[in-house]
Amino acid sequence: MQRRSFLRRSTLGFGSVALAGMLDSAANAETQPRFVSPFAPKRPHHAAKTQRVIFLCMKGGPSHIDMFDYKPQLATDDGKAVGAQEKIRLLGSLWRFARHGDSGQWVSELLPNLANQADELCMLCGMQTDNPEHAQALDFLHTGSFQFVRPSMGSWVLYGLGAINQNLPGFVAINPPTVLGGAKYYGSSFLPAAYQGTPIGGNNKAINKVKIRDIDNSRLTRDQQRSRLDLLQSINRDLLRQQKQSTELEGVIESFELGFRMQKALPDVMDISGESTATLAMYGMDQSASKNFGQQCLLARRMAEAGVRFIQVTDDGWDHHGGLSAGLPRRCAGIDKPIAGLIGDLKQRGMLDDTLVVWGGEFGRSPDDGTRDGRGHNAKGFTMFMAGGGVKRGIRHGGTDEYGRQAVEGQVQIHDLHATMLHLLGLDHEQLTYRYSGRDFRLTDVEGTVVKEILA
Amino acid sequence: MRRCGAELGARRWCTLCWCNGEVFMHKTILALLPLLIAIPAGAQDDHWSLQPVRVYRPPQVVHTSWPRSDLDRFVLRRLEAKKLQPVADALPETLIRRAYFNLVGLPPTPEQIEAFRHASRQDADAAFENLVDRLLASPQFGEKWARHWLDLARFAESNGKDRDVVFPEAWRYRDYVIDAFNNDKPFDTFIREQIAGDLIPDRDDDQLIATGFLALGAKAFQEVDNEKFTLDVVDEQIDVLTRSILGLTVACARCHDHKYDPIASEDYYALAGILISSDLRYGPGPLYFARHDKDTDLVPIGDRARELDPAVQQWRGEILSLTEKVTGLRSAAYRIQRNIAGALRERELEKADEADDLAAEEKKMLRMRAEADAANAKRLQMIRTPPNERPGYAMAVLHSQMPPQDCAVRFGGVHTDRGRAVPRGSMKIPGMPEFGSVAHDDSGRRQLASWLAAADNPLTARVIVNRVWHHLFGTGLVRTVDNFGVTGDPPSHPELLDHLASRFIADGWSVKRLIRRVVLSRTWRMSSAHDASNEAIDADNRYLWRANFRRLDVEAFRDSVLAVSGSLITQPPRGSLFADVYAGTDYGEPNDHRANFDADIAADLHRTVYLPIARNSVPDFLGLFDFADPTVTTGARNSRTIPAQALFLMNGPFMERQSRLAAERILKLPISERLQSAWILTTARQPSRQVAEETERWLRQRTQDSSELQAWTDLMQILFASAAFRYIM
Repeated sequence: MQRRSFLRRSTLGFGSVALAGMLDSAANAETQPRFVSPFAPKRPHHAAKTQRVIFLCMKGGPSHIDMFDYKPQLATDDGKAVGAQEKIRLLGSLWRFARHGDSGQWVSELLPNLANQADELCMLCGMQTDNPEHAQALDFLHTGSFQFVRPSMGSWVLYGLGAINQNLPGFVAINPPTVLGGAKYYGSSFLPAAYQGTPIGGNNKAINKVKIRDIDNSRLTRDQQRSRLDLLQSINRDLLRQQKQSTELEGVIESFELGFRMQKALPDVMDISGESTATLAMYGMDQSASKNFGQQCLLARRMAEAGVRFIQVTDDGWDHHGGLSAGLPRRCAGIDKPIAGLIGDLKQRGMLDDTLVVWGGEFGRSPDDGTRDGRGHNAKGFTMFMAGGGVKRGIRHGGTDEYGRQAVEGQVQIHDLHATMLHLLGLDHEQLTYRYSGRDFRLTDVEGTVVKEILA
Repeated sequence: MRRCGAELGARRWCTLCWCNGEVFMHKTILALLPLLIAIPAGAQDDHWSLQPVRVYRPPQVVHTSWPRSDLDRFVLRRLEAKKLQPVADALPETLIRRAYFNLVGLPPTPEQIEAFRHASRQDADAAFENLVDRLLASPQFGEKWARHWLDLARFAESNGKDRDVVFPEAWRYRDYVIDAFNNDKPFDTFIREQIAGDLIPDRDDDQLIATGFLALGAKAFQEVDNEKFTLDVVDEQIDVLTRSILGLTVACARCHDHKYDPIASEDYYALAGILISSDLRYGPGPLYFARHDKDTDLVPIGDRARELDPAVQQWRGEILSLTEKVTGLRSAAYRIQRNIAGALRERELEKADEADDLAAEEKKMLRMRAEADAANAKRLQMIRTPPNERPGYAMAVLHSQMPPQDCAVRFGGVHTDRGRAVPRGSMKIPGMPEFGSVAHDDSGRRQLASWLAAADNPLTARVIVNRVWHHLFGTGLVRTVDNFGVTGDPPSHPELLDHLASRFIADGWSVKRLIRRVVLSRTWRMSSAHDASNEAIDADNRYLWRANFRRLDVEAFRDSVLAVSGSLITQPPRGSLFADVYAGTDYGEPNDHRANFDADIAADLHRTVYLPIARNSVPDFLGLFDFADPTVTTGARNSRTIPAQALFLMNGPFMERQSRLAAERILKLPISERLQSAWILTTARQPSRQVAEETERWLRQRTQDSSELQAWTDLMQILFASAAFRYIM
């Protein structure tokens, strides 16, 4: 542990596995000067505040007014009809809110553990998105476009910065949804396909049963595999000798070595058997409600530690049109301990300073609905939060009207969120461009303003 | 910017910035925009690709003995001007392998290699000409070359996007394209049929199926606004047809005049009017998502179409009304359930109205559920028992049942923000042929087909000739194969491109003759050897001083593995896995059956072009080796080298299974021939002495701790993974 933290400090926050990966690629760089891996680290535009991102996506649209955005007026006016339609009535939150920590952040009783981390959270209570439909809003959140297929933010980040650890994928999507165009959320679109995310699991499948495709070879021992690889590489090098020179072939030879290293490194990262019972409990893995998401968060931390640049974790089931009273507590119980555990664990490992945690869904929920036990979609005002790498701690930025219906101050658009995230990673969202089909594209299109107010 | 000026509102300028790649204009710059309006009109009207195709005389060269054809003279002229030396010709074994993969996408057998080497010793030119003619005539030619067009046609057998509905009849379009290339259908006819085959007098079913080109696109079925849905569909059609056929990105003009190319918003809507005036019959499928305001039913085909279709329609109608009943009942029951839950909660909070009779409500809900279940059982039963005799169906475009209409400009692409209606077919792109008049009761689609396929269209022939070049050399003369606009790459050999395009038209738009002309050139037959002094001048081989070293595409790779292991079924399958397995079932999306779907594909031993492609469930290994995204038109695929490919090659069950089969095949041979045969089967050549010795040593060592079959399985897997197998030299 001590050696590890020494390494982290001495290598700009990279874990030990990362260091090994960097040394390997440095050695290769000397013998093979021409082939440049698409994952080779690139210089950021300006000094980075964070090295990596963990994006926790709550698919379906979590109810900000029942979780973070306290609206006493809504409770007072509960049951009051709005507008002409008699059926549409305001629905006050069913849950008690309280202030927490030194910062006094409002968090509802649905999230008791996360409330304990209130002083770490940078609340964005004035979030807005462009479209109140799931498919479009999810596309927008993940790719900055709801009309066209565009690269996902993780792909942009990997393209802009390269990978930290050359033995591991640079962008991982844990439990990505497979419906509503799920592959787009970690797709690279027109960016070189090398930058697409590596999906792990999906469809809420228990993550401990998930394996990376072809990552192991049960038929052959590691030595046998190495001997097989040696012969293959001889054959490849023989061809390289005949061709005299070929960047392409050098790339092929390198990628087989990389694959072989990844084969060893990735299962190590995915193997949580060495984690203590206390750690598992910290992530809520001792309770059935939070076991699966806890494991995903733990995996996210392990990947962050090992040098994965962008980690996206998706939790499905936040679309509470009905059954809010039973469904929302269930979902919150699923994520409360895991996220609190993740933030606490990153902090205790000294990683929260250069890891940005981002939480949120594609939109929030409405204060009123035809049913008395559900809420509709709300694109005009909702809450997301950040924690760690380069953002202020324990603050609340922006806010909605008295019912939580619409952001009225400190509005942050999705493009602004992306711009800010890139800024923290050392990338200027206006300069991170890719030329495709005759024009330069950006994650933020022609919009996006860095939210300066929240920068630490 | 051809047409600019006062008529453009500030709003359109804002959206113009949106698509401006060079300088992203900020809101502050907007104030200065009036100054920018003064950009000289007609600045891009002289762009090279919009000039008429010219006939050039082959140039004089210094080394007169090198060229075998006019094509070679154009190439050599450039090489000499750049002080580059063409490298030596490729060896016969390299050449035959290259020819096989380029023309039929399969490896030559050891016997074919031996015969060719033998014939080459007699007369190398004649031997090669014979080989090329034989390959061009083989049915495998169409299977290889159709795939390139299918990439452009974003061919798939399901919708993708928000609802990945299966298109069970889409395979007919695939087969149409394969047949077109095998029969060397003139390319202009091929284009005409795909745009307006349904309007050809006395058309046959194939000409109708051809229009599937316009119907196959991915659609946002969840879009609730019918007008926006229609315009989005048209946008997709415009994007695919202009990029694939014209090499122009016209779709930008949905929102604003094209920033670089001389394409105005009006041109876009002139084209859109033609497309919205036709009916798109995309299905989808008989049972699922029949919606939006137009008739989208598939078109029955075959001799007995009229006779057989009514029974199917009746069957379908009954299923659809049952489906509606089931959904209606279920959602009504759900609403009641929600209300009960809400009332119960209010009771807990002591706000409830005691008068609520919850028990009665609950009974009602349960009754509805039971009724829904019964209707659904009946529905499933019906689905399982379709009429015995059914016609085939085509995804197609038909003349609209509604009167044709012009399409209004939509400012900024916002469908509700209407401007002036633009007459159909009134595109004013400079250099393009006359469109011809469009009568008020005519959509203009027939004229569109002729306009695109006209001999005096400066783009169509150039674009396809360049695409063929791209597939034969690995890069195009114009490297941006889908973009011949101002932002695209200029041609490396403009005269050669025009020479080939004019000959192509003179040859009656024959793709086979074009390929033959290119392949028989000396340029195509060079080796891929490195040369230091050439490399110093032209590292990218832009001027063609050698052949490019290229990776096999995923189809050729998989087909070759199957061919070497002896498992490949060369006979085309009938229809498609989707048509067989999913049609007539209550299928959801392929992803719902992902395990079965993957297993079905893994068990399929036909050529890769025949594997079913579901847009949201493209088989992993295809994506791993850079299969084209079947949602967008793709002229040039990626060629990635990533570790995940190495894992697939070294550890994947498909590779292991095929390697074992290949090993069993090799082990039937006498010991002395095994190593050589394994090498020739996979790479068409003998191993170098050094590698042969190392391999023998390795085999001896490997057989000490495992069986002979095991050792040979490993060796075959190594060969399949090697660059010598996966690349064309």
